Amino acid sequence: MKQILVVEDQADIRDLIRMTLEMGGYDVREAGDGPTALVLADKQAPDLMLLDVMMPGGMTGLDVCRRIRSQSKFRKTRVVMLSARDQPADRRAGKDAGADEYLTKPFSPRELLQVVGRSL
Amino acid sequence: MEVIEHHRPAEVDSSDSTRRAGRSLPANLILLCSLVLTLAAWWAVNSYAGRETRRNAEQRADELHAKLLHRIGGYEQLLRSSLALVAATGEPDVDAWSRHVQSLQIGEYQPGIHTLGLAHRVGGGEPAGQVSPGADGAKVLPPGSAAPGMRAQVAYLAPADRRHRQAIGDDLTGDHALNDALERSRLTGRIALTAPQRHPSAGGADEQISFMLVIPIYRESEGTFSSFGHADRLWGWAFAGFDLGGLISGLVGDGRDSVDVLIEDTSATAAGGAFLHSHNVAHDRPAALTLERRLDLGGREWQMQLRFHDSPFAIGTVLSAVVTVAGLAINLMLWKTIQQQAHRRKEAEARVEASQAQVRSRNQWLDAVSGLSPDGALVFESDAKGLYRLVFTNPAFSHLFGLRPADLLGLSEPAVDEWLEGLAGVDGSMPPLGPGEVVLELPGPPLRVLQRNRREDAQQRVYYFRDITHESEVDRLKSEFITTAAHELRTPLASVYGFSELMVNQLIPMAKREQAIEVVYRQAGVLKHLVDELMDLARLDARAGKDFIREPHTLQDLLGTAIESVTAPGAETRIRLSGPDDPLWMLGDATKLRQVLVNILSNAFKYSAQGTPVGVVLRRDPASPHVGALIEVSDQGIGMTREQCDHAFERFYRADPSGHVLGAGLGLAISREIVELHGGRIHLDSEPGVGTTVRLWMPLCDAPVPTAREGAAEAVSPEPAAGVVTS
Repeated sequence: MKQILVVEDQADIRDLIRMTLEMGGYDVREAGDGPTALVLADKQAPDLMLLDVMMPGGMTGLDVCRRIRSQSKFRKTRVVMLSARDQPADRRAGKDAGADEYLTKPFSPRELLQVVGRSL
Repeated sequence: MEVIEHHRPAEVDSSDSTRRAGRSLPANLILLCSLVLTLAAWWAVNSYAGRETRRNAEQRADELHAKLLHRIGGYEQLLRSSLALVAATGEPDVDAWSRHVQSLQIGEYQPGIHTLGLAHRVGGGEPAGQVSPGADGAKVLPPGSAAPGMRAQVAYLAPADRRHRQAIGDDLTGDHALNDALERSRLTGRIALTAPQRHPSAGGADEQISFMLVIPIYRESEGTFSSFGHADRLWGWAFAGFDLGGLISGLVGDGRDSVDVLIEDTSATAAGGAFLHSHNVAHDRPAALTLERRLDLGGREWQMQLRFHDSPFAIGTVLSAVVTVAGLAINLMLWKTIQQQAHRRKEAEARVEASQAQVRSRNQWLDAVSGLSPDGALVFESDAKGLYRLVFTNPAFSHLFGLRPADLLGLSEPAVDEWLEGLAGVDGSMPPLGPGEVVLELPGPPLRVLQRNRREDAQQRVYYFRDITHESEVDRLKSEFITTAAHELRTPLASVYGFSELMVNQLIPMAKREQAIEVVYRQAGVLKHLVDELMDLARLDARAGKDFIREPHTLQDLLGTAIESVTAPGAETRIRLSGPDDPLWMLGDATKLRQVLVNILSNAFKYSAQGTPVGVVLRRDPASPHVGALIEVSDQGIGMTREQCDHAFERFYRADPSGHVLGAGLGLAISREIVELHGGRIHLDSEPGVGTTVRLWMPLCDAPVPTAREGAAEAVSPEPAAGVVTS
C-alpha cells in the first residue's frame, strides 16, 4: 500500500484529502505544518507528499519540498504541490523547488486521485 | 513642438548706443580725413591760383614796362632821325626840316607827339666843365647850375601850324622844366626827359600832361653835326613834345581790367604824386597784389605801380571754389552714407536684439510652461549634420534625474545616453534613448519608476518622462490584493467544492456525510463573510465614507447593541463594562460603528480562552485636545508579538493563518478604515500570552436638541443591554 503524507494547515481540507485518498486505497498520514511533516517523513519516507504552499510555522510547502529533494533518502518520494496560487510564476517556483506536480485549489477529488495515481 | 511666439519691442539701452558710437569711429575718421583732404586741395588750388595770378601780374608788369620803354625809345628814335637829318644837311633849312617832319608822318606812326622842333643855342659859351658826364647819365642838376646867359632859341617847330610859327624864336630856357632838361642834356650829352608838365587841354575840359624829350646836337669843327661831342661844341637841341595820353594809349587797360596803373616821376624833388592813375577799379577796394617797376627815361626816374584787384571770376578763385564745393559735396555724400550705414547697422542690431529678446521670451515662456509639467522633457534638435543635440530640458527633468541643464545642453543623443546610463547604476534599468514606450527605473533613493516616450518631427525629438512610481506601486498593491483575495477565496472554496463533489458522486460513506455537509456549510459561511468584507472594503475605498449615514448616537448605546450581538442569548457574558452615566454623543453611521465594535469584541473572544473576562472601558479622554472618548477593549488571550501588532491592520494579515480561527484578516483593516473615516483613531497593544488591548478614540459631539420623536426614543435606548454587567 502506497504511503502518502498530506501536509496542509487547514483541517477541513486535510479531511477532504484524507477521505479522497483513502477511497483510492492509499495509506494517508497528516501534518499541519512543515516541521511536523519533515519529522514524520524522516521516520518513514513516504511514496508521495502532498504539500500545501502557504503554511504557518515559518516553513512554506516550497521550503519543505526543497528539503526533501536535498536528501537522497527521499529520491523515490514524489511531491505534489497543492496551492491556492495559480500564477505561472507560482507554478514555476513549484517546479524549481523540485515538485513533480502542481495542483491548484479548489481541486476536484477525482483530479487529485488522477494526479496522485499518475505520479506513483 | 509647437511654440507660440511673443513679440517684444527691442530694448536699446545706453551702453548699446555708446558701443555703436565707438564702432562708427573709423567712419568718422574717414570723414575727418576727407575734410582735411578737401581743405588741402582747396589750399593747393588756391596757392596755385595765387602763384599763377602773381606770375600773370609779373608778366603783365614786365610787358607794360617794356612797352613804355619801347614807346619812349620810338620817340628817341624820331629825335635821332631828326638829328641825322641835321647832320646830313648841315644847318637845316626850314624847307628841308618841314619835308622831313612830314615824311615822318608823326601823327600816324608816333601817337602822342605833338611837337617836333629844333632849338639853337645862343650865348653861354663857357663850357660846363665842372660836371662830367657819368656813365649812367647825369642826374638832375642842382638849380642855378645852368650856364649863365645861355638861351635856346626855337629854330623850327613842327607841325607848322599857326601857334608853332609864332613860337619860333622863343627861348626855351624860360620854362623851368624844359630848361632843366636842356641843361641836363647839354651837360651829359645824352637825351633828357622833362618832368611831366600840366597844361589845360585844347578843349579846356581836362588837364593835359605832356613831356619833352630833348637831345643835344653838336657841331664839329669841320661843320658837321652829330649827337656826340664836347659840351662847348653844342649847337642846339632837337626836341619832341608828347602827351601822356599818346604815350600810354593802348598800354593800360581800358576799364574792363582789374588792374590799376600808377606812374610817378620820382626824380622831381617836389613830386606831386602819380601823374598817371588809371582808375579802372573803385578806390575803396584794396589791392590784392601790388607790383612796382622802375623806368629810367632820359635822366628821369619813373616809378610804375600796378595794383591788381581780385576778380570774383578769376580762374583761380573759380577753381578753388569748385574744388571746395566738390570736396564738400563728396564729404556730404560720405557723411550721408556713413549716417545711412550707421542707421542700417542700428536697424540690423535692433532686429538682432529683437530676435534675441524673442528667443529669450520664448525660452522663458517654455520654461514657465514646462516648469508646470510634472513630466520631465528632453528636446533634441537636428543640427546641420543631422546629429540630434539637446536644446532644452525642463525643471521636472532636472528634478527627476538630478541633472542640471548646464550638464547636458548641447550634447548629442549618445552623449546624453551615457549620462543617463551612469544614473541607472547597478540597480536601475535604463534602456538607451530610442523610439517607443519604455519603462525605466532610477535606483534613487527613493526608487523611481519612469515611463519614457518619444515624439518626433522633422527637426525635433522630444523625450518625455512620466513618473509612474506611484501608479506602479498602486498597480502592484492592487494586483497583490486581488491575488491575496483570490487565494483567500480559494481556500474555503476548496472544501466546498471538494466535499460537494464527493457527495454528488455518492463516494462518501453515510457516516461521514453529515460531517462533510457541516464543513461545506461552514466554509460557505466563511466565503460569505469574506465576500462581505471584501465588498465593505471596496465600498470604503471607493466612497471614502460618503455613503455613511451620520447621525448622533450615544457611545453607550452603540456599545450596548454590539455587546448584545456577540453574546449568545442566555449565555453568561464575559464582558466587564464600565463607563460614565452621562451619555457620550458622537456623530456617525451606527451600523458601521457597531461593525467596528463587534469586530473588536469578537476578536477578543476568538483569541482568548473560554471564560476569561473581556474588559470594556468607556470614558472621556482628558488627554485629548479635542472633545473625545476612549473605548478600551482588553482580553487575557494569546496576545501577539510586536511584529504581529505592526501588521495587524493590514489587509489579509492574520497572526494565525492556520484556519483554526475563522476570518480572512480583513476585520481590523476594515475597522481602521471606518474609525478613521469618522475622525477617530485605533491602536493595538499586545503581549504574547498576556493579552491584547484595543484602544479606540472617537470624537464626540454635542447632545442633539431632542425632537418629539427622538425624545420618545431616548426614553427607551439608554437602558443597558440585557446581560451586560455594569461595574
